[in-house]
Formats: sequence, C-alpha cells, structure tokens
Amino acid sequence: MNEGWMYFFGLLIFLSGLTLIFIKNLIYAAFLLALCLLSIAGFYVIYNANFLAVIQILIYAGGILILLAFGIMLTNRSPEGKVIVGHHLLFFGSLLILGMALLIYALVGSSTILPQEVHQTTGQVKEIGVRFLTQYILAFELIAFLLLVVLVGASYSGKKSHHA
Amino acid sequence: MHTFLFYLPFLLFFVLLAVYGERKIAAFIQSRFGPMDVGPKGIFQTLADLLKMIQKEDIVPKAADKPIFLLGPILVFTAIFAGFSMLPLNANLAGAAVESGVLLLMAVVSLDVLGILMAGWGSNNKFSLYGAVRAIAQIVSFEIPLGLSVLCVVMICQSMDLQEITRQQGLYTMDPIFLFGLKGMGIEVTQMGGLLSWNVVKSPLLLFSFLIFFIAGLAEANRAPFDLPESESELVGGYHTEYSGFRWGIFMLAEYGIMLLISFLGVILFFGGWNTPFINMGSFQWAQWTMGSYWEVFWLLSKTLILVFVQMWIRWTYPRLRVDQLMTLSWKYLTPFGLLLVFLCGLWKLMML
Repeated sequence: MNEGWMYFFGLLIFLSGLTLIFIKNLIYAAFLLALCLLSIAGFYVIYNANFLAVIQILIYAGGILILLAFGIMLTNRSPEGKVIVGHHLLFFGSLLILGMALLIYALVGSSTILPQEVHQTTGQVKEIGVRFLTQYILAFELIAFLLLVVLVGASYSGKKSHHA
Repeated sequence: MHTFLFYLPFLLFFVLLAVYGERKIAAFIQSRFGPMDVGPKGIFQTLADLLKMIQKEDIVPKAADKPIFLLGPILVFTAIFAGFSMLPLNANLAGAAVESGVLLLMAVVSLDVLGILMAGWGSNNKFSLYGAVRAIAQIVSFEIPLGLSVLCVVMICQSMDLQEITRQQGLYTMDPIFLFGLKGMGIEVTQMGGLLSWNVVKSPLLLFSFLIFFIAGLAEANRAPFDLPESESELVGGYHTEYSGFRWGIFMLAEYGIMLLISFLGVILFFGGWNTPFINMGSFQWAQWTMGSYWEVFWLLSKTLILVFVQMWIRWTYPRLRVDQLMTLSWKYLTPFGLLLVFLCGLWKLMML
C-alpha cells in the first residue's frame, strides 16, 4: 500500500518537475511547482514525518510559491497575453546537470542516505520543540535573528524616502 | 473518523439555507422584505436560483487561459473542503487523526489562494486580475494575525489536535480546571463543566485573541467589511467576473464554506466545541443532562450557526474598507496586538500550571 503511494507521488514529482523546466509559459511553471512541492509533502507523510509535511505545505506551497506567483503576475505580459521564457545559458546549465548527476550517483552508490522511515509517530511536535530549544538552540536563534534583520531591512527599504 | 460523510451534505444544505438567511437578514437590517415570492416566505428562492444556475451555459471566454480557468474554482473548493476533514463532530467522532490538526487546517485552507490566482489570471480580464491580487494580498497578510491568535489557544491547551483541545474544555478533561485558570485562587470547577471550562473563561485573555481571530477570519473569507476582492461597485465581480453557471456556483459554495469553517474553528478553539454551555449546580446536573452524542452535535452546530449569523450581521452593518486601511489594520494593529497576546498568554499559562 505504502509502496504504491510512494511510486504515485514519485511519479508526480518526476513529471511535474520535468515539465516545469521545459514548459515555456511561466505561470504554468509556477502551478507545476506547486504540484511538485505538494507531492513532496506526500512523500513526507508516507515516511511518517507528519509535522514536516504540514510545514512543507504551509511554508513552500502556501508561502513561497505565492510570492513567486505574485512576482510573475506583476511582470509585463507579451502581446499574446502569456509570460514566455526561453532557453538560455544552455552550456553552463548542462554542466550543472552533469555535476549534480555525478554527485547523486556517487551518493546513491555509497548507500546510507536512502530515505528512512521515522519510527516515532506521536509526540513529534513536542520532540521537535524540545530539540530546538536545547540541542539546536544556536542555529534556531541565529535563524530567528536573520529573519528579524530581513524584516527590518524590508520595512526600511519599503519606506518612502523623505529626501528624494 | 468519517466525519466528512456528515460535513459534505451538511455544507451543501447549509449553503442553501445560508443564502436565503443572508438575504432575509440583510432585508431585515435594511428594513425591507427580501425574497418573498417563491414558496411560503420565499423559502424556496435559493432552490429556484440554483435550478436556474445549473441550466446556464458554462462559458469560457475566448481569450482565457483554458486549463487554468477551468481548474481554478475546483481547486478553491477542494482546498476549503479539505479543511473540514480535521473537524471533530462529538466526543466519539474525531476528524482526521492528525497530531498537528490546526496547523494542517490552516496550511490546507491557505492553498485556496492558488485557486483564486488561477481564476484571476486565467480569466485574462483586468478586473479579475485586480480582484485576485487584492484577494491574495489580503489573505496572505491576515494569515499572520490569524496564526498568532490560534497560537495563543495552542499555548494554553498545549495541543494542536482539535479533538484534544475540545476535550479539555468540558467534563471529559483529564486535568483539573480552576476558575479563570488561576490555580492560586483554588476554586476548582472541573466537575461543574459547561461555560466555566470553555477556553475564553478558562483564560479570559483569549477573548481578545478571539476578536483578532474573528476579524482576521472575516478577511480570510473575503467577507464584508473586507470584501475588496469582489467589490461590485468598482471591480464588477472580482476574480469570478468571467465565470458563469455551475463554476460560479462553486465559488459561492467555497465562500460560504470558508465562513462556516472559520466559525467552526472559532467555536472549537474558543467556545468549547461540542461541550454544553450549562453548568452542574448541586442536584441540578445541567451539564451532565445535556451531554451525549446527539446533544454534542447540537451544541457544536448551534454555536457555529450563531457565529455565522454574527458574520452576516457585520456584513450588512459596516462599510467596506479601503486597501490601505485594510493593510494598516492587519500590519499595524492586529499583528502587534497578536504578538502581545501570545506573550501574555504565555504568562497566563504559567499561572495555570
């Protein structure tokens, strides 16, 4: 049962990922990205990482993707009414793909990084919270600080300047 | 477990009645009659409207982006209806057993923004696009105060499971409940149940959280006074200008659906969910007598419908806000007060322990 769902979501990720790269209509690409991110959330559910799946939906599909779509909507349309992208930088792109492929090949060959099921199914939220405030407190606080800086910076640059 | 088997027909039935109810309430508030021709007191008016709507042609504008245009309304309704799967119905019928239920509910419901974007962009109409941009800006910014007010409840209850949150607000609770949550006062009301164990009474600060929740919820549902996305007088009809027939009907269904969902969530988080409001007093065991599977469903639904009524009442009482006023309300008033309340609720929780 689980395996069937895994192949289903895997196929969805694969297909939506590939199409979103090759499709020329930018707004379609944004919606395909949404499908891709949601399918990844499905993967998390299969491997019992429920909280992570919820966060994936909330942050990526609900937050970041909306920002992306907003950016696309506010760009100018071509006369045909579609935002079209072309294929550029093919050489460096293919180099990057080659590098990534080699890296993944090497990693898969060395085993131990295959997905593992989370065995603890209840109390995940509590566990994550406790870890954040003990074991990973430095990283947690640094990220909080970074986000604060970003917030202050955004509101500063969004403010109308009095001199100009 | 299978609560959606109840919620789907209930939602459809609710929309039929709510449209009629809204028109009657509007008419009452504005001193006119409202629908009165079809059936006694015009009660079949919505049914007649529905029949007319289903027979209409499903028009797709020539310049529209067809696949996106067709998918938009379906995605909006799916996202909102998925939110209903987490709601409990009574003590024995919990929704989907998700540990982080409230969070998932908010995450899934926020996906309806994608559908609105599809509808607005796909219509290839400038009014639709303006409507969609307004709707998304509004939903995304009001999600923050909404999340903060829900966070207050989660901190008081120490759980994100809606069934567990409800259980803590009544006779079935595991922990002792003190009056206003103040353990120092030493007045235990665990056996009295009813009103005294609801979250708003257990920690009175949550009343202010509820105000923020309700205002943000209205904005989330694109209801007046926050109905800028579909303001008829300036944007024709907002993101559903180009839709006709059944697809337009799905948008209506989604709008009333999210009204209902926000009310359900408000009742479950703040007003005791399926718990009775009556209190056990001496030999009059009012709370004991009014609990039981059917009573619990009755309490949940009746409290929710009261909140829906308040939403309609507000719609026909207040004028619409301007866009900048809307953003000011969200970012300069609701969000800072929400942050303050999260802090204060943390302190209150310390006194409850």
